[in-house]
Amino acid sequence: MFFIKSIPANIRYYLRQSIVIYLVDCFFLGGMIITLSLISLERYDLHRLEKQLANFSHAKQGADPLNQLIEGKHLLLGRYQLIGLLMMIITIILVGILAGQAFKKLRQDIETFSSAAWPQYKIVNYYTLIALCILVLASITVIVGWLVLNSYYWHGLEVVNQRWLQKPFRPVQGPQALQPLFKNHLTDFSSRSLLNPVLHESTKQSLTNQVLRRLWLPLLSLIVPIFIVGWYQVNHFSKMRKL
Amino acid sequence: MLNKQPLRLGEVYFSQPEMINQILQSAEQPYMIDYQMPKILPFATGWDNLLLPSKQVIPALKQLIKQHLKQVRDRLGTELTVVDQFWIQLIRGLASQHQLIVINHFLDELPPNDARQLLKDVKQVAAKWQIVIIITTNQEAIFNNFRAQVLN
Repeated sequence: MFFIKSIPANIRYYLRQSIVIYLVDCFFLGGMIITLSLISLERYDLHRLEKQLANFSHAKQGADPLNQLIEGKHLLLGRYQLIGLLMMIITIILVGILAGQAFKKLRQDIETFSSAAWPQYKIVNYYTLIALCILVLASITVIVGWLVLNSYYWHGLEVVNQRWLQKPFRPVQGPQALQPLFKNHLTDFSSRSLLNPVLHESTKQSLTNQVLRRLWLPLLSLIVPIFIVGWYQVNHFSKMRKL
Repeated sequence: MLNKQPLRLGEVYFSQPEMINQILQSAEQPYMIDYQMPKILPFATGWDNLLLPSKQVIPALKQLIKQHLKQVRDRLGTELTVVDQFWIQLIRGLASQHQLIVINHFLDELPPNDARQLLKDVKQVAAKWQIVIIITTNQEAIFNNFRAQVLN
């Protein structure tokens, strides 16, 4: 009962700090959704290209640019995955530092819980639960906003990805470079759609589901450092008190 | 003033703050009630601030809570007077079954009437609950005054 009543009261009392944590959560989740979307988009593109490549014989004249295109896509996918990993590591460090500072500020409150004979795990759980509530609020804001603007989002991301991000990794700059490949060959796609495919609504939905399924890792990276730093700080304060 | 005498349960003692660590040779850590750091959660009400550890303790403490916290149950920690904060901390100490309670500087900071009343109540609590309460003060005059008016 105390937890239920106290958590909103605690958030309200430390409103400024709570808003900062909320914004950090929103910012990171937004960034991770974009990175995960780019990874899913590139994976989808790569998978589609490989399937389309199967239509041509490797010996066929003009197939080289297509192979180079696939290599370029592999490279870009690797870059996106690296960016995602780096973002997670930076966030874990940043959240850890922020949590350390927050627990130092909350020292007197933690002493109060200790004076009421609360065990360490209960104090850490209490603060982790507060952080979790803020994270849930931030997740709802970001995910609902993302789902509402989902169609525009994927369209925008597709355009940005094709026009700006893929360009340095693309050896083939125009559909005309692939013309020899299509000569005397019957396919259900054109050289233009091979280079710049258009995402259908069902594909957008499937990519959205993929991103949502992978979102648990960024969510964990926002809460686990708080739990670990909380344990360390509460334990440290308890030792200091006994000295 | 307290001077390495054996502490008897149910009694109130006075000491200078710096002497506490030298005098106390108890294995048990005393429960500290500090005027400077009152250990009150600013966002919780007087009732929630008690943070009682188990339901079993409540009936025994009920009378004390009723007597001293009745008016402040719904008031936020930030709105509590120092005397209310003191009672919350003392009840919390009793609930966690501490036998040795040290009250830092509290009487020095209160108006004389409040301090006198507080000391009378604390004396009763110490006797009723069979605990040792040590009150620290920097002013010999306060101690003498209270000894004349309350302790004797």
